[in-house]
Amino acid sequence: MELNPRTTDPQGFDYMANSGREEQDRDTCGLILALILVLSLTALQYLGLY
Amino acid sequence: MSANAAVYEQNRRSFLSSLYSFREALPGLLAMLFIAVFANNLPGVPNPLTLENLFYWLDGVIGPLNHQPFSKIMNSNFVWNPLLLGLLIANIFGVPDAWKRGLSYIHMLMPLGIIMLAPHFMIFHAFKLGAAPIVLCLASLFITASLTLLLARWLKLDDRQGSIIAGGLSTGDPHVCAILMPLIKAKGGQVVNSLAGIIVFGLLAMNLLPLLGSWLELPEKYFGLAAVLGVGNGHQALYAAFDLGYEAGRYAQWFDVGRHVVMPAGFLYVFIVMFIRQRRYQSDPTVLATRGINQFPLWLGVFIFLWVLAALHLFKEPAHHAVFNLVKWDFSLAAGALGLSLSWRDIGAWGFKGFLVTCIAGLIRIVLLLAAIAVCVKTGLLAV
Amino acid sequence: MGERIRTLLTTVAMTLLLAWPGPAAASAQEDPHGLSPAADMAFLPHLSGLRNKTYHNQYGQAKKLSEAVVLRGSSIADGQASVPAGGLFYISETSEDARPLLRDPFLVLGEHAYLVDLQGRQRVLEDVKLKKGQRVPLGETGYRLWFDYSTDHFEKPYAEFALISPSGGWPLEFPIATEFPGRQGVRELGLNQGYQGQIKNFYLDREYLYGASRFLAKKIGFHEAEFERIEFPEITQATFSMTRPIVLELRQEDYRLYFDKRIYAFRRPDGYLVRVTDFWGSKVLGEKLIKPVSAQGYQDRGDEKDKHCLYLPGHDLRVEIMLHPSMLKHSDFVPWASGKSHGWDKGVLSFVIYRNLITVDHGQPWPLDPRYRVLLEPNDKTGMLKRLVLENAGPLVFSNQADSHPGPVKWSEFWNRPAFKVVAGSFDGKVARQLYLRDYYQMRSDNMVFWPKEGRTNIDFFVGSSPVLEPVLESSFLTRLADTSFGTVVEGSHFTSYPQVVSDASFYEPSHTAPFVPRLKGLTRKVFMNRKGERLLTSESVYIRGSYVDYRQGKIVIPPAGLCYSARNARNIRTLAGEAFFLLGKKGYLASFDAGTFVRKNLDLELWKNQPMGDGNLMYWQDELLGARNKALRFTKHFYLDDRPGVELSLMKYSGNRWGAHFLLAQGLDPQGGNRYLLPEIFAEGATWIIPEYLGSNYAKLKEFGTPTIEAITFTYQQPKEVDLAPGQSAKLGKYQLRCEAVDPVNQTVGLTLLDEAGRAVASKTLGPLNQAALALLPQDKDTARGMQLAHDDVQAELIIQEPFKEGKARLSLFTHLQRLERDTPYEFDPRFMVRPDVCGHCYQLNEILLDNPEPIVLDMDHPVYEGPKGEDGQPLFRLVIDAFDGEMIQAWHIETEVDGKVNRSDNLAFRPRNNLDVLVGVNGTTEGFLRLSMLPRLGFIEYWRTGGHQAGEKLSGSVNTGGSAHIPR
Repeated sequence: MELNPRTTDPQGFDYMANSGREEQDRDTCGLILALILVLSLTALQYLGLY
Repeated sequence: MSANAAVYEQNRRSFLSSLYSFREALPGLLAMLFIAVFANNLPGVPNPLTLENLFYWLDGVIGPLNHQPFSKIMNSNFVWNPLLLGLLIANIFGVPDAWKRGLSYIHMLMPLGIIMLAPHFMIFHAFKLGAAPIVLCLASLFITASLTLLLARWLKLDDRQGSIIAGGLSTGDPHVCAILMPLIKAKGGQVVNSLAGIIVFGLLAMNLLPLLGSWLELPEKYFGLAAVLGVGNGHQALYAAFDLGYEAGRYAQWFDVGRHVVMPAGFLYVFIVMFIRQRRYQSDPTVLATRGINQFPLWLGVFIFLWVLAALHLFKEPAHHAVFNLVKWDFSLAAGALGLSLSWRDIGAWGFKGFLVTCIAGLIRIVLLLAAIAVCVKTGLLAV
Repeated sequence: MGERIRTLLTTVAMTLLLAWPGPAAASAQEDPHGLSPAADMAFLPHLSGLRNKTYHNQYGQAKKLSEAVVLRGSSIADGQASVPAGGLFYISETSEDARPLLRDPFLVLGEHAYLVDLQGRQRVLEDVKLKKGQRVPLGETGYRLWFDYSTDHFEKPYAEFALISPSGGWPLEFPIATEFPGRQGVRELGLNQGYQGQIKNFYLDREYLYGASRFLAKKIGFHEAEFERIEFPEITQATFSMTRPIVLELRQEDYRLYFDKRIYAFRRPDGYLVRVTDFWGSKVLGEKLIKPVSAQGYQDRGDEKDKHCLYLPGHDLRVEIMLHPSMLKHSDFVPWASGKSHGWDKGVLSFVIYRNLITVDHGQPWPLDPRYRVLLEPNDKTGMLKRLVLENAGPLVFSNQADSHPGPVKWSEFWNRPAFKVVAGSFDGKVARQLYLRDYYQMRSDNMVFWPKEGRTNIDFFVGSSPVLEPVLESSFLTRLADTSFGTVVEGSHFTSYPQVVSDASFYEPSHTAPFVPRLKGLTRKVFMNRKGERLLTSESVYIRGSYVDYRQGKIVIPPAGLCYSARNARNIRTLAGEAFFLLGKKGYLASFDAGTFVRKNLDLELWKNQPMGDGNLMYWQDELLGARNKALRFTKHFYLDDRPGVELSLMKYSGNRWGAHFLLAQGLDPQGGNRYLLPEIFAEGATWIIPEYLGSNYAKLKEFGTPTIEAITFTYQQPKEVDLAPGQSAKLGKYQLRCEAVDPVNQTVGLTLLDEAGRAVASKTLGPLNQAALALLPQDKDTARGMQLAHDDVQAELIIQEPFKEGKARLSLFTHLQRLERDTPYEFDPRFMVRPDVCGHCYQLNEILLDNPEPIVLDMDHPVYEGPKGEDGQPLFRLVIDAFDGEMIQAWHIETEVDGKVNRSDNLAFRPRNNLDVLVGVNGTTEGFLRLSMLPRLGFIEYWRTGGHQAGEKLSGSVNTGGSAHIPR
């Protein structure tokens, strides 16, 4: 696979490449953060904090 | 497995390893932050020097077109502005290597933003429109998406780009192009290429539709519905509607909610169709869309779950409002990173075939839509 | 058939009247000063280059500044538009006024400037005559005096006038009369506290005092008026500093460097000797003894002002010395600016040095652009600067070839350039199809020809959010708001976690965003004639106030007194005059009324300074009630004139409307004491009066306050019969026989006896005498009116006082099936509603009949329909129908009526989602009052509605009291 010099650093890390275990982990991070934000904002409202 | 993936496996301690170290990620995160706050008027940031404000001024100089600001017709919004700014920076100055770890957060931000979008689509907001307009909205959505996917296959368009176009065109909301990107595993250049094609098609459609509408003598109220479903983005729809008449413009705003709340159905449909196809033709090298996704993504499941909760009215104002402000932040950051990743060539490389597909699918949709609305009006399904 | 033709003719006449721009609008030939743009002018509330912002002066007092560009008096012929001199003007306005020595901010063509000096004088005019409806020019001043309308009490005239400044603005309409006792007369009333009888006198002074303006009437008639003397202030010259002053701490007996100059200060017993020299200190450029500036108002008096500054026009320099607070508090330059003005105890003396000074003269060319002329309009109360107007000195012509005209050149730090450009083009014979304004940022407005296919026959417009719009639109705002070209305008509401919840909506006005439905079939609007042949419009309206969504329960709540039905005539409804009104669509004839005076003594009144709920719609602890559900007194504003506190009070009615204009009072402004200003110490208008004990800036103690109240009326749905009876003759009166016993045309009396079916006398009375003493109190005095009526059980006979005798016979009007409507009792056909008759504050007459709900009304998707008050036939007048409600926002609802089996539905009143049910349906005095109060935000919103846009964050707010229904700035 050809390298995209714009998105790849000298270590060969391509920030636009997203696959495998790394992808799953990123998804998990996003998923957890989203749930925390959405649920806490909703819970705060239900608890009458704003 | 690429070398890089192997390195990651080796160093991985938990899923948090995908965030790398703070020192590695900081420059890229700051780059995204600065692009975002100089592109959009983000909630909580009183920065007047934004691209959004620059466009506002330019709109004032150009003057409203059928009451619509020119930049909004050209799809300036909280995704497009930072993307444009990132694109400019990357193509003029390049992207420093130090930013790249941080910029990879885009892949965390995309599912994050998409999940947080779920409370935004409250199906019951459309109930006030009545049954027939809702059916038309749904039919337009699914028929356009299917039609575009079929056309893309016949015209041998890259299936990833075809999917992006199908999503953006069918939902009438170019945001969907960006939302579909991680699901389809599309290239950034394809997304921007498709988006540009949809906007340009919208410019044509918004001028064509009023002519057809007055030729067909559609009632203004339902021309508003046609505008909402038949053009590229929200402001193009209003342009088309107000071009025909005041009532059409007014009802375009009324019917817009019908298109809006079913939007997730559009990108879910495109993803599911392409995902099933990918699983079925695993060995076919031309099947690229969703390639690499081996099971239904969990986070998408969570999105659907939250969307159902939204339909049950769990998310109320003002929590919904607060969540949407976070969505703006999220997509602003992500779009900045996406813009930075692209060169003009990446966008141009995908050619005009996508635009051709957009135009053919869009025109067929307009014909079908106007015919359907005319029939509904004649038969009284849409009460005048 | 005759009735039908008359109705038809009336309709045609009304249509023509509405189409006619009216005497208020300027036409091309006339001097446009003091006149409004055409009734169909375009109004755009926003253009980036026209600013609308609150700034503070050096004492931290807030001033709301606004700018607008107006075009009036244009006409189009042969493909070109002409605008007379004075037709196109820029206007900059401040709330209250701008004075010298306070660093009062003022906008000058988009620049945040400061007013530093003013020269003024009093203009006196004698023997001014005018006719009703006229706006006569007052000499060459550019001002006009407007005779708005006249009405009567005891058949004697009183009238409302306004002094209109050249821009078209006026601060208030004032009532004045020459036939009644003056305000001082109320000191002799001597009534006790509580409910009292009617007072016999009607008080209205022949002199109206308004600070620096005075109006002394000679003879006020119904159709003509004559003023002995009219006095109002004029400003001849003003100086602005176009940039922020430079503030330097003063060093006693030493100098500070200011660019290339030294400024010395030497302490003297009565101030500082300030000396300005060149850089080396060798050449003295100017020297003067000046006193430091303080917050006291006397310092801006003509003879005092110059003691406080050193002005060197040749060096573009003006030096003042101010007592500067130690921490720069109360300043625009730090974030904690507050509204408190007085009371620094610590500070330093500082030079305040103004530069970039521009001096303008009233009526003279604008220094940067001689094509424009400067007009300086004072606040009529204080004589200080209210508006700066720059108007075109010569006539203008727009055509397809020359389609643009630049506005006055603005002062700028960088680039003096035209402040705006008017573009009018695409002319086609008598119409223009394109009209817009481009500001100095080069940003343009939308096309102000809203329907380009039809075009417009003039190019008048008003762009910007200046409150002067309010008086300018006085004659046309109702037609504008009632225009349904854009459908029913619905302003969406924002969801809030804390909706404004009230336990009772009495005295509230509906939300300013409540949709307005001008016409709904089923609500009556009719013209009828009384016995004197006066044409009276009677109309019904429905309004909802104080409603909210309880999103925690998922319910829509209309609080008690929230759903109101109002029946009202164009003026109060009188007995002995054959006057009628409509109650739930049925015509009712008024027979008698029971009114009195409510008097309170020694009451404390607190300034409405603390408005903790922040909703501007308060019925709160600061208000003082007068009788149960009658009226409430409110202390809305205070000000200083010659350093004496003046107060502004207003009277709220149960309906939520204000009664009359604001009451402006101040104590001790003795004309002999060398005061510049005059205000009355006592308020008296009709039968409402206030005698203050003490008027302060935060508190007023009132010695006495009285106002009318109405307790009950009797009326009938049966049309009264008129009979002529000679002595001995009888007539049937319900189940009784009415026998005329005696007719005495000399003493003007009639003897009557009422006999039952068995022929027994059940009542007898001698009606009259209808002599001069009685006529002087008719028809408004209750006891005198009763003397002309024989009432028993449910019947009544009354003398037709307009022509009581004919050929030796007595002329009588006979009422049967009388009903009594008593305040605060359930309505007879629908006990879900209570009857609230409302009184005219002048004269004890019935003003309005309200029906409202004593219990809250709760609606949701399981109970989506509420039936309005039901009449005798058991049919509701209207229904409220919720079509879509998600528990938080109302997505669709409408109001419907049923007439002849056909359902009439209003438009969707939540076309944009709303969080309350507040609505105004139908036009009568009550809804008109509400609309007047919300005129600016409503008209502003229509523009966003028209273009499908969303309202900008900041809303317009008015500050003008346009009379009739008074205005409270919010």
